[in-house]
Amino acid sequence: MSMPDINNLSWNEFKYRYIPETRDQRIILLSIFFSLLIVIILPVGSIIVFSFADSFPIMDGEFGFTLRHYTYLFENLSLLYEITLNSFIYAAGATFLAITVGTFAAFFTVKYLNDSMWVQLLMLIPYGIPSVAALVGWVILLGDVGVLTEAVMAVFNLSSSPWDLRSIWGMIFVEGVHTAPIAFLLMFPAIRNIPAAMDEASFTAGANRIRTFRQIILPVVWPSVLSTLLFLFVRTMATVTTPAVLGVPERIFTFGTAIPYIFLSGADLSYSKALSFSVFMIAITTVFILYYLKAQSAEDQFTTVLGAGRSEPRRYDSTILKQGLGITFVGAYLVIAGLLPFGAILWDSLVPGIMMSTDLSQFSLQNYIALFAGNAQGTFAWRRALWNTILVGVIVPTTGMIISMLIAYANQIIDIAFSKTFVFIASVPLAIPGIARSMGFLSVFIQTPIYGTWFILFIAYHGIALPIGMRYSSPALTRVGSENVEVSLASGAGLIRSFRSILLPLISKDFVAGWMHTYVTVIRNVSIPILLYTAGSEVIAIELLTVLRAGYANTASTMAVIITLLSILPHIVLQYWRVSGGLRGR
Amino acid sequence: MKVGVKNLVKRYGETTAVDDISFVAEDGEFTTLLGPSGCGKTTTLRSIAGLERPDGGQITIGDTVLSDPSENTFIPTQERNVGFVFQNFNVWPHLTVFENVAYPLRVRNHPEGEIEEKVMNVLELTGLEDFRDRPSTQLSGGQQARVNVCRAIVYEPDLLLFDEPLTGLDRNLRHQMRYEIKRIQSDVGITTIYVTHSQPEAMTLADKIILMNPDGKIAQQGTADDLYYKPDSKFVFDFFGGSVEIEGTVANPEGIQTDIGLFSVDVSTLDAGASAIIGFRPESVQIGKEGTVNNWKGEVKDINFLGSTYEYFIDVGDITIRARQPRSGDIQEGRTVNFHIEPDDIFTYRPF
Repeated sequence: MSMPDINNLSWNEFKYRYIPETRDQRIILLSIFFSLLIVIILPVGSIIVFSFADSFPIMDGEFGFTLRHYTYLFENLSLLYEITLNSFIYAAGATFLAITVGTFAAFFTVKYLNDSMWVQLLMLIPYGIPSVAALVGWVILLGDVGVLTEAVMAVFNLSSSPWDLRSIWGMIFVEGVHTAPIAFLLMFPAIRNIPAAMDEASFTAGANRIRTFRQIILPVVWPSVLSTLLFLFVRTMATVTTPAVLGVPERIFTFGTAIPYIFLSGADLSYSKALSFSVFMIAITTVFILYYLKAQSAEDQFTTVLGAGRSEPRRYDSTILKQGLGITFVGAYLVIAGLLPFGAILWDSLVPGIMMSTDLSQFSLQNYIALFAGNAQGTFAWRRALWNTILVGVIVPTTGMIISMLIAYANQIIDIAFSKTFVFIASVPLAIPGIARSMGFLSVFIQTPIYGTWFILFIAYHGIALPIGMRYSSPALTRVGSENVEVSLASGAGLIRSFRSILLPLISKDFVAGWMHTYVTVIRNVSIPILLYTAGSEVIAIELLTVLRAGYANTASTMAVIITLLSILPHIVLQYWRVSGGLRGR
Repeated sequence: MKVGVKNLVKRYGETTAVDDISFVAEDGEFTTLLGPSGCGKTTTLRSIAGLERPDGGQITIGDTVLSDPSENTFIPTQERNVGFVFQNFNVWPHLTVFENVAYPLRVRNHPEGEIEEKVMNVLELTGLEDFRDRPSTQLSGGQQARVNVCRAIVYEPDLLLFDEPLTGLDRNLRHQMRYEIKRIQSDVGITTIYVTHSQPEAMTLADKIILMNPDGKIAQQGTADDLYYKPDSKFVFDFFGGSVEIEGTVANPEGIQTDIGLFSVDVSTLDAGASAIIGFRPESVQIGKEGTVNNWKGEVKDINFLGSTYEYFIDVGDITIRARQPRSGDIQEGRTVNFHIEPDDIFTYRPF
């Protein structure tokens, strides 16, 4: 092993270990350990262990081990094959759509629109609409009796709908459109970091822009495209909301819906089968995650060659026409992904009754009043769901950020024992689909008193919060460096006081940004609460999914507007910080 | 308080950053740890502060053992009562000047009235009293450096440690701050250990200089005069400016025979007939002077203006001698001049 040449190292490159024996250090170590134990280690471990248990829930504390549940899965190969194939087609289609839109928008923004901050913001805003809310809009617009469906039928004199939203293609369309901002977010820096010399060398060699794009730009960004593809693919494969609304009624099951709607539904309900299916799903996503990590390391190598951020990209001569084309592309996306679905739910929520009306005099807040008065159709638990959502929406991001900041603190500043392992464990949820993690929590807590309370949701949501928190904490602490803490220690403060009084204020913006990111993600999440909620621990996303699946359109659109309003403002602030350069590295 | 470092060792894997060094900083003394990058001076300072855990040796302050791995003794930084002034100012932007300086006192739960008094005392000492409520983001580099110092001395630590605190400042400010640090240190009388790679900084500030070599060992320790005028190795001679080095052979007892003649110098520590190197400083070359021994004649090839002095390059045979002294009208390019070097100003070393 080669040793570092200390003559060429700055002091920050050395890792320091303060004294493991201090009280503060023990407190930090134990807090992190128990947090990770409850939030990640136990649920993940229990999925695997209990998938081999002969029965679940465990009765009288005794159980034997069996492979029966796995053999069942593979004996019903056609079901497994169908679920896997559906998931792959759905994920591949949505990913392809998202990356095409995202890459083109990123290319236009960099090459013709001079990285316009506003264009970036407009591309990212639609993601602020939770997909469960957007789905309500799409059902209103493109469903069998949707507004646009009927308009097209009338214009072209068709006897039946020209499309079928409740199909795998409908799922691909909705998920793809709403995933495009993430593709844009990932592709933008990749295209932005291609130095001007790349394009210019190609032009000098006589190539035109199309050839340059095909033979230079695309191959150069290919590692980024590949890693983005894999990231989006894994992320989409096990989503719950879209397949639950558009696929399940047509018996199109995917990884995200198989557990709640096949294995834990009806007379054949079997936790054991759900557990073994979870393990199967984790195995598949892990393979893709490993490919993703490999692609990412190739991307990093390209970045090294290209020298990320060191040079300006080549801007193309931008005529009004080309700029107009770029803005039209982004504008059309904003309309399709944002204004149309949100306009539809807003409109529908303001019109009492089933029919959409253009008569403004009929507009009223009746649906909202009914919802808050407890008279809305299809829901009995709205106010409780709203309260629970706000409760977890406020507390989970706060505790999640504190724990992830502590993990980064332990690793980057104190170099506490096991800190690298902690960082690894905190990132494990990235490889495990939400629905499988939810299954893990179910298996750990179903026989405890906290099952059925909001507290189990509080714990389970941390599986989402920690990886997000780490994305903000690690770069923030790298920026602040260890010296600020050392000054505090030399001043006589302990590690916890230094964390509280010095570090947290210095990284407050990162904390708030991570907080908002977590908040936006938690309140819209369906995959975690879908297996964990019971009467008393409902959240809005689940109530909305339930009323939407039951067909109460007015109630659904009213709830959809409210959950969108809860989500969109912090989302916009967060994205504004990001595109204005205030959150480098996230 | 007196600080003792005895046989200190610090390793990173197989690399030894600090290799068995020992020194004492007397009560109230200003000691400088000087050396090139990577020589272990900062590691030594951080070990004294408790920010590094030594692998061997003992560090004491007064009668208290701060660290001794053989006894498994290690007092955490926050319990050592040392002040540490870091290279980066690390003035916390979320706190005002007053609150930055008050932080160590608040940590120690001092009463509010006492905090006010002590903070204002150190702010006055550094001329920052009018800036007490200013957000630290609105301070100049020099003011930030002062806040940095105030924060380290406000709780009257037993020992004050500086880790190249002037590196980020421009030249003028650096000069000004050197004197200010020296003044503050002598006013408050705290034992101080100051790390720098700048030889002029060390010479200006220190009562005692500890020069470390790239192997993590102490090359020489003593006053600035000792190290400059009585270097006991080629490394020390070179580090303090070096100058002309001429190879020769020990011609016992007269001196060292070189290609340009015999240099009369004390060779009692060298073996007769052995190879040796002689060195001398440019200001030791006395142009136009003559002594009983060590008199040469050479042609002036080049003259550089250095501000207050001139630098002359004089060719003697194949060797160029560098001399430094005020301008003299008699010394012109192309002229032949006589010069003399006192035997006491010549250093001798064995070649490596």
